[in-house]
This record gives sequence, C-alpha cells and structure tokens, in this order.
Amino acid sequence: MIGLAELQAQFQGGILTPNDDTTLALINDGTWEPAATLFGVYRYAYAARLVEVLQANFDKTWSLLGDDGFDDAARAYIAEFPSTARNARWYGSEFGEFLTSYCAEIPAVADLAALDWAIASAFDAPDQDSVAVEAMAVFHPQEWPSLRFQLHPAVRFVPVSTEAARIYEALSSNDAPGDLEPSTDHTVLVWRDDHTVRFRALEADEANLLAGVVEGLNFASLCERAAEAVGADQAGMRGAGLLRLWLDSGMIAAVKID
Amino acid sequence: MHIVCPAVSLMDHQFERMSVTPDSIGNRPSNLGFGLGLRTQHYAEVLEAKPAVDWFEIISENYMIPGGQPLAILDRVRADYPMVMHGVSLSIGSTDPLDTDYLRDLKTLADRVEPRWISDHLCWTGVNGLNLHDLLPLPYTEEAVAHVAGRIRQVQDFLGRRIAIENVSSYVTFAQYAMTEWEFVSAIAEAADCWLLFDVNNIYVSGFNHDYDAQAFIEGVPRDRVVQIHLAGHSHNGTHIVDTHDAPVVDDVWALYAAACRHFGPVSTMIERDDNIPPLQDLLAELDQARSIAASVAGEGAVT
Repeated sequence: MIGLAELQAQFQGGILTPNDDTTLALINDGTWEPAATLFGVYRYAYAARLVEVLQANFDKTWSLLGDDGFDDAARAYIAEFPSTARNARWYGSEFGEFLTSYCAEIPAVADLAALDWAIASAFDAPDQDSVAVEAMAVFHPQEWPSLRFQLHPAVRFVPVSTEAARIYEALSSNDAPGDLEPSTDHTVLVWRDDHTVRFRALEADEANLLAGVVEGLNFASLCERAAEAVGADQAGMRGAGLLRLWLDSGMIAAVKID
Repeated sequence: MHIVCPAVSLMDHQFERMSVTPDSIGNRPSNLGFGLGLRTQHYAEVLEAKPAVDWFEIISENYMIPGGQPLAILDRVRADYPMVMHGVSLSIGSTDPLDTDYLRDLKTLADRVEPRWISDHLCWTGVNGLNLHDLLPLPYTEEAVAHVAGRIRQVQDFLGRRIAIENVSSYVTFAQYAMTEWEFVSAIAEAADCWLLFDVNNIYVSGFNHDYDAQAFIEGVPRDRVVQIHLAGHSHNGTHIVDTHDAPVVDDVWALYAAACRHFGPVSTMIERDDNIPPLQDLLAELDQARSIAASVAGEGAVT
C-alpha cells in the first residue's frame, strides 16, 4: 500500500500523461463502468477546463483563431505548460510567448494574445487614484522642469509587429480582422480609465517619452527627448501636450519634484 | 459597508481554543435563509433590482485580485447582502505544503468581505507544485483523515475562524478503502472541528457513480456541523453522472434536499450554478422551489 503523497503523484501523472495507465491499478472498477472510463472523466476534464480558462483570458485570440484553431493551440500549450498558478486567473502568462513560435507564420496571433493578456491584467490591476489636470496648478512654472511622474499601476505597454490594436477592435465589433501581415514595430498602450480598460497604438515619439517616464526622467529630460522627434522649437509643446493627454486619461498616479 | 454580525468572527476565533463535542457545538453560524452564487452575468440586475435573495456566495478566487471593477462591484453587493466565501483552490487534501501566499490573499479578502463563513472543497487540486484546477478525490483512509484534518486546523488557526468543507462529486474510488465517504467526511470534521458544506447534488452524483445510498450519507454526517447546503444540476451519461453544475436541479436532487431538510433542520441553502448561467429569474424560481420544499418539510413536524 502506497502513501498519500505517492498516490497523489501517480494520480496526477495519469491525468497529465494520458497514455500512462499505471494509475488504473489504484482505482476500483465501477458498478457500471471500468476504471479506465471513470478515470477518463478526470483526464478529459483537465484539458477541457484549462482550454476554457485560456478562452476567458485570451478572448480575441480565440476569435481570431476560431474554435478549432484555438483549441489546438491551447492544448499544445497546456501539454507544455501545466499550471503552477493557484488561481486560474493567472494561467496563461506564457501563452503569448508560446504562440510566437506555435503560430510563427501569423505573428498577429501572438501580438493579439499579448494584448489580450495586457488588457485582462489592466482590468484587475491595483486601484490607485489618478492625478487630475487641475492638481498640476499647485506647481510653479520654475518647478516644472524638475517634475517626475509615476504611471498608474494599470498602464501596460505591449510591443507588437502587426496592427494588433486595429485587429482587436475589429474583432470586438464582430468584424473581419482584416490585414494580418506584419507592419512597423510599435507599442500598444493599455490603460484603465476609472474601471474601463482602453488601448491605442502609440506613435514612436510618445512611446519614447513614456519609456522615459518609466525610467524616471524629469519633465526637462522628457522634453529633451521630445526634441529628438519634433525639434527643439516644438519640444516643450509636445511634452506638455502629451502630459495633458496622460493626465486626462488617468494614467498618472503621482507627480513628484526632485 | 453593512456589517451583519461582527461578533461572529471573534467568537469563532475563541472557539478554536475550546474543546467541543459534536452534539453541542457552540456558535454555529445562524441560518441565512436562501441564497445564490454571485455571477458576473447578474451584476447589473443585482445592483439595480436588489432581488429577493437572502444572501450571496462568492467564488473567493474571482476576487483574489489586485483591484478594479470586480472588487468595486463586490463592495456594492456586500453593502446590500450578507455573504459567504467559497474557494476552489485551497487544495486542503494535497500533500504539497499549504500555500501561504494563497492563505494570506484569502484572509485579505475575508477582511474586506467579512463573510459569515469561508468554505472550500474536501479534495486536492495538485501536487509537486502543479495545479490541475480540478477537485480531485481522496482515498478514504485513516492517513488521509489525519492529513486533511491537520491541514484544516492549520488553515483555521491562520484565518482565526472555523472553515466549512464541502463533499465533492467523484468518478472513481480507490483500492485503498477503509471507510465510507460519509464516515470519511465525518471523521475529518470531528478531528478538525470544522463546519460542513453539504452539496446535495454531489451526494446524488457520487451515490450514483459509486452505487451507494445517498440517504445513508445524509444520516451519516454530524448534523450540528452542517452550515450550508448547495443545490445544483449535472449531466447524466447513463452509466455515470458528471457534476457540471450547469443545469437546473433535477427532481431526484430536490427529493434528496427534502430528506436533508428533514434530517438537518433549517440550513442556509443556495442554488449553485457555475456554467450555462441562465437569467436571474430562472435561479430565483429554483430558489423559490427550495423555499417551498424547506417550508413543507418544516410543516411536517419534528426533524428526523
């Protein structure tokens, strides 16, 4: 007679390895069905349940691939990446990366999965108040060059090589996804406005400036970075304009002076 | 937030340190009446119409998240209704170490929700660091009783309150077999000094699958420990039943519920629909049927 730990290891192994029937020695035949059929309920349910979890976490990827295509990709992923997540909400963290090779011929699939994951994680990201535009009035003009900004914890950046944001919107409207071909490498910004998650493709200079915010650059340095794209004459306007946009979007959680 | 009875959790904590006998268990949570599982599909209607539901059960894991809309809605619903928390990931029967991160998150949520009680399943969900996200069966052995009861006590000490454990549907029995399922459930409940969540559908499903008498199960567990009843539907495959919780309660399960009411007396009862979620009105109609059965049994006279 084996101990509980060994019994559980064998039972789990039998679910994860469908061709391994040694587990059946642990199990009684039922009144109406043999042990293999009854154990098969667990084997079937295991993958089916995780497919449902991935469908929930990657809704638009599912729409793009269709039921059969998504099912194939999900089951391949499940076989390679059994869950270590306590909460099913977090299962699938490597699915986007997995799809870059599994669906290498259609890079839009992995891009969409990365966007799905970012949107889901922004949806239930930590709560934190945003700084309102009006609150910026407390800073004197001479203080502005020294201001540093902290992004809201729901802000996400998704690097993509296809028109993932447009494809996502099309699928959300039940439209055809359109062109799936590679486009210029760019970043999709994801953020949460109150409880609504929003996203948009970023111009290169805005992505650069937001990267600067993450790096902790102050406003003067951000404007210097803006000058690289729009020239020194326009840098201040561009920096201030984007800051206004981020504040209006609820993306800034804190403003600090050096 | 409307706090229903803040003294309950405190009193539960005190009782952890007391020796109690099965027939005189103090401080059992009071009967909440008739409830439903809170599901996202019904959020708007619950918030706006405030349906005649006595209480809601939440799936703990759905709200063990950093923030956002789900927690905001949870707070609003909680302001209007008593709640209980029902988990699916405690893996109380696993031989892996208890997941302290999970327990800490569970406690954080409990501090927010102030539930009347917290429950999870008498099962394991994985070992060796993996989680199969299923409610896997335990062998009915003395070793498993001691293992699970010890873990329940650890969880109860951490949470500072008794938890309720629920019997699960199962499809296999193990060659290692020292007792019936109800003897197993009872032995753990006594050794751990915990509450029981009695799922009538699961007893029907397992009773069919393993060819045992569901009535014997009802009569075999310590009635003073039962704090909640689940009612649900299933998928009947002819030779075995799969617990899908995605369909209306069937007549046989209603009959078992009546038997449970006769034996246990009034117990907090809910319809637990996990998939194929119907309009709220459909679940309210099922809940009315539960009310009607419980009232009818109460009118029969003494509890058996």
